[in-house]
Amino acid sequence: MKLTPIKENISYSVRTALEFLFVKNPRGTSIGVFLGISAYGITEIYLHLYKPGINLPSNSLFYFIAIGITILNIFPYMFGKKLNPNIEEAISLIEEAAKKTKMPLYHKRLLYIELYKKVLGSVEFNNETKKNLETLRNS
Amino acid sequence: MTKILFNMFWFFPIIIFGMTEDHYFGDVFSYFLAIYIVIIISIFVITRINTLKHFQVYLKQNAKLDEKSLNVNSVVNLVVEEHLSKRAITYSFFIFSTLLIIIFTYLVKTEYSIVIYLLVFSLTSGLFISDLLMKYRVMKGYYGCRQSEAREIIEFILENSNKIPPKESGKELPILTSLEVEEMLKRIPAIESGKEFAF
Repeated sequence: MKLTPIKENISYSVRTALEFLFVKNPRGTSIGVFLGISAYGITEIYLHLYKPGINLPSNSLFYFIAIGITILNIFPYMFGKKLNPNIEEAISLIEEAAKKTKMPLYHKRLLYIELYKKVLGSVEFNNETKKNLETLRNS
Repeated sequence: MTKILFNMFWFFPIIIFGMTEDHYFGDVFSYFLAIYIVIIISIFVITRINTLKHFQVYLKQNAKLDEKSLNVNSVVNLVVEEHLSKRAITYSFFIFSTLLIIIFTYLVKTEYSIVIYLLVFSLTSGLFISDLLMKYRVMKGYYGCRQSEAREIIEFILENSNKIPPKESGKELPILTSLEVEEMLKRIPAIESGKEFAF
């Protein structure tokens, strides 16, 4: 078997590090960078046209970008999406069990696959019940 | 065509350095560097996103080349395709931001530090590396056995339940792309008795 935990660990840790770099919201950070640069440019044009002689310091571009990123990331960070508490409990139980018993990776993965199958089943059940209700209402 | 363009990129910085012998250094250098980075990022995006977006085609090609056992249709594939289609917007915003810098330098004629171009370029490359790592984890079958990835998959299932095809008679849509899990299930009694090692 080719599975090695070292490759798994490295790929996971690098990917999570990159996600933390973008505050787990890369679209927001990219829009923040865009808005920061545009705000800096607009203020510079305003100063150039109406108040000549006053120049912004060159470092202030980075402050503008930082402000843009924080504005676009603070609301999803504070009031982000939260999963169903039952699913959260299941995930935390799996993680606790993995820590306590030091189970191998394949065992943990099978537990997670069972969880996904249950979520899929519940979603399919909900869709079927919705369809049945609609047919009942139409008839 | 792309090979010719990439060969041209090696000559591009040499021409710029040739132009920056005199007092042109700050303005002209930053201007050309910005154009250079924009062209690289745009080609990068056009070539790579097209291959990454059609993940099923990519999997088919890879399965033929390496003789790997891969599921072409699975839930994780749908997650990856959704993820990559969202990523196209973030890449395009980075391109727009570099274009904006060029426009403002033309309008106001102030020198921007080179660090800003390098910052945008490093951010885009970081995004690209994270995408590659995700693809690697999916191909190897590691994807979905960690807490954050489990959250990603479950959020996708709950939000986009319409995209997942309904269960046919006796056939379920498999969750992972790699078939190694099914092989593992066959090998579990041997592993637990101590005859074989899992990792």
